[in-house]
Amino acid sequence: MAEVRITGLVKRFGDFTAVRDVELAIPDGEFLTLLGPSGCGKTTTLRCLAGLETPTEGEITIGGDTVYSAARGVCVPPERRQVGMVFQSYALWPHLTAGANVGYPLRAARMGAAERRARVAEMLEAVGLADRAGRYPGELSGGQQQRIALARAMAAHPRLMLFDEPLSNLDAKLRVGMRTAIRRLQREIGTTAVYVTHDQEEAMALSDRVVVMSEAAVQQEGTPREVYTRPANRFVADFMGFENLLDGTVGETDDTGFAFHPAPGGPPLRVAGPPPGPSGSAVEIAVRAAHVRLVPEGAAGEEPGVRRAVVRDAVYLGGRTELTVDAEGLPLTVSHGHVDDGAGVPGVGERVAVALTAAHAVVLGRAGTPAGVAA
Amino acid sequence: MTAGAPPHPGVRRRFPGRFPGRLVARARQIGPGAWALAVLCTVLFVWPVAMIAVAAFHDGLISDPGGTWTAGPFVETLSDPGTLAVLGQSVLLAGVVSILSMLIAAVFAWMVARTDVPLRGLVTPLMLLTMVSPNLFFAISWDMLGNPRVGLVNQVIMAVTGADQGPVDITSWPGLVFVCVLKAVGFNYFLILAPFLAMDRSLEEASLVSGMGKVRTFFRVHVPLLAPALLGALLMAFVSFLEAFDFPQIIGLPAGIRVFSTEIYRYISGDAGGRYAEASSLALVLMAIIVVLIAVQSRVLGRRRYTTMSGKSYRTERWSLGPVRWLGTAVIALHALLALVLPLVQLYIGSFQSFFGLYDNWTLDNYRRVLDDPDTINAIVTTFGLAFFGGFVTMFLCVVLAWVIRTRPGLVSRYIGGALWVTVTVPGIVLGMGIMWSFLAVPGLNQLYATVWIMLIGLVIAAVPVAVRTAEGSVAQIPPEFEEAARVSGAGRVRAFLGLILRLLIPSFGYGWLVAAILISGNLAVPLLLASPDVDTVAIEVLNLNRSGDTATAAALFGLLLAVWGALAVLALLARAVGRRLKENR
Repeated sequence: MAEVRITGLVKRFGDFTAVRDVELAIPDGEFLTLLGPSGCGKTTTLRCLAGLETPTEGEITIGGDTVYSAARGVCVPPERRQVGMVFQSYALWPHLTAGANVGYPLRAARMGAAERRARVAEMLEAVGLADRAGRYPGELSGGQQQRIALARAMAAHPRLMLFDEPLSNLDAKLRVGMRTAIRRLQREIGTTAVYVTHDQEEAMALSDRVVVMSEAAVQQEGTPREVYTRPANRFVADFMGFENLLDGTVGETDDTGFAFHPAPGGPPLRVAGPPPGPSGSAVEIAVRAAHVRLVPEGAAGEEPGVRRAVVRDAVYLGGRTELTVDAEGLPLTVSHGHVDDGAGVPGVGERVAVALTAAHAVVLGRAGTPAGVAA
Repeated sequence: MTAGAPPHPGVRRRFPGRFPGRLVARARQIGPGAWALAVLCTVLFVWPVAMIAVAAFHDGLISDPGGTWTAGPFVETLSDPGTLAVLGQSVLLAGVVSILSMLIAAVFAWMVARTDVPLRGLVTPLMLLTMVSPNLFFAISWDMLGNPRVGLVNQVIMAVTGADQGPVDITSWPGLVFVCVLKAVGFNYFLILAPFLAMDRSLEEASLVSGMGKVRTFFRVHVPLLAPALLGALLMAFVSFLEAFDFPQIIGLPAGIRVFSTEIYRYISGDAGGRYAEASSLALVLMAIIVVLIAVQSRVLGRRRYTTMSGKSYRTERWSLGPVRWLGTAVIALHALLALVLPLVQLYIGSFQSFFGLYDNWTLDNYRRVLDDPDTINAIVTTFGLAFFGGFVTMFLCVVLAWVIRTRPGLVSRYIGGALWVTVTVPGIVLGMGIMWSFLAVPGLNQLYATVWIMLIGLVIAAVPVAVRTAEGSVAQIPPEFEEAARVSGAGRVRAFLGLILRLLIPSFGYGWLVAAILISGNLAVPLLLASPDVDTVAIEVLNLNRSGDTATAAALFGLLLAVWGALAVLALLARAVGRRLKENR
């Protein structure tokens, strides 16, 4: 149980900056996820928290104790930080049984034998492997190894739990089950948790708060819903699966929103909300394919914000069809959901008309500058 | 299938324990090819050992019809206090050498796997060279280097200090241990390196995060994880130096050090020659000890799986040792100097001296003497012929056996695997004796005695333990599906193996062939018992020259052997480079 505070964290490997000026405050008991592509600095940040990596600059406190401070020359070694960690490779010791693996942190804490046995049994029970205590890791399946690793990390009831992509070696079905187990155990023990992943669905499902990282820096932090629906910049929008990222300029503004003039030209599209600047200033917007509507062809030219389009490609995806259209020079991806068998979907070469769902078009800030979207 | 039909034969095979006569049924499933292999393994690997046991209880030569069966010599040998002394000295030598060489090899492996020591890239080639160089090379070159009066080491020390007596005498306990360790480090390094490289760094980090400090992590994680590899290396070194022959024979005997192999040789043809039952009894004791050691080793490893867990590991930087790293470089340079540079320099310097130790009279006479003597020429030709054909036969045999073991698990494979293990337990001198008994005991086959063929067979068997490791390694890289695909495409089993598998194995086959050939050419113990005045090898000639005090000629002869191998190695490297070039240009 601990509040975690990271201030001005920088980690350089020679000339390469792995983490740049990361600031994070994690309240006690929160489940926070560091989300980003490989090489974005999320694992390095996690390892700095664990003490496995010594930062170059900054300060880290866990539960009020300063575990690292460049200014004060403090660096607490990993074994004295009272954290638990689940490794991507599981890192189970092959020479110890499952039970001995789980009991290891308790032994490190010099817990008495009887109490230790009870705790090991309790932890194995919690991950559903009470009958595997005597097995060696090599005799367990991947999913079982993962659960032992989880039980081991939590056995000593650490004040902070660290997860380094723990589910990336499991198949999809096991992953969903493990997700639930991780969240349940974290709540039961009431520990603060920092979780690293590149899988946005995993981040959504687990977290109280998501921190999106790219190129060594924090791009955005917020609840899963905020990050998913209101990405702060182009990188986050792209990473969160926004199919359409459009450059253009601000046009006519009124009370409900503004006209967006896409860079390739043609009639403007409608975007809800206040414009980022005066008429004529540059703007970038992100729109999910599901929020581009197909409208009757006749509506083009009559309603504002509607464009003529030709279908260039159509991919049937079961529950929906993804269309690539050319809307008067502007390439757009459109998702057409099926209510029935999808028979009414326009085919390649057909003429249609498209409009943005104005309320769901997101105005983006510059990449690398976290826009105050969370606020 | 109707309800009343007999069960499918496949069903029967899945529950073998329930049916009586299952051994007969299984034996029927074994094809003629597998039978042939099993018989071959018996004749080559098992029979000579069995003959040692028989000969231990037979008075006189095994072929001698006048001989009688008796347990007398066996009991006598065992109760002889001299045997106990031999046992003590053998164990002392093997124990000290294996512990020292394991520790030194561990330091080298650690430097290569984990640290930023400059020149660490040289360690693996250096160790490879010391591993493949014949024992005889280290034995005779250090016998020369450490000569108290004229050895290079003492010459240098005397020149520097002005003393008139060199402080180093190689023919002593420390000297013998030192030379053995030089050789053993190369061997152990390769047994230890892989586990050092393979160990997942996160295992150590998980322990730190769990709250164990660095010291406790070292004892609770590093030591137990590396223990099997270190213990394995320790036992392998112990076994191979318990049965060592070349070093004790050349360096140990003058110092009065008597070990198993040299004693066995002495019983057969030394000053106590002709006591075959005693020699066989001693061999039995030695093999019994080795079998126990190997059993202990596999017991200790137990059911624990020491395979490294899969999964990506976070890239971690090498340990930065700071200025200490230059100490590591110095250690590497020192080892290169002692194990390779000095022996080579001494060997060739010695070969150009009119008399070993005379530093002012350089001459080519030694080489002339070697090349003018038809017997020596004969030995050189015989040695390379044996190396060339023997190396090929060894490697071919090992690849076939390794492939069979890998792709056809079952009774025959288990038997072949066991027979191969027998070869590991048999010291060279004992093997030579076993083959001698085997051939002498069979009328007809005894005609082969004292021919080059019996030597070829002995040398092939002696090279098998090393060659089979190479073969297993290369076979393991070829998925069994390749053979299955060939079979499905219509190729027969033998055709699939010869046409496809063997072709894929050519590069590693070539490497194994070379290693086996070098081993064969440097083997001293096996030819020593199987040679005849007509058929002998360079190794025996070198030993005889060394024994008769003609050290300079011995150096010249061995220098020639090394030079030919060096030239062949360079040629092989060139051929590989040219081959790569052609491939790239295609």
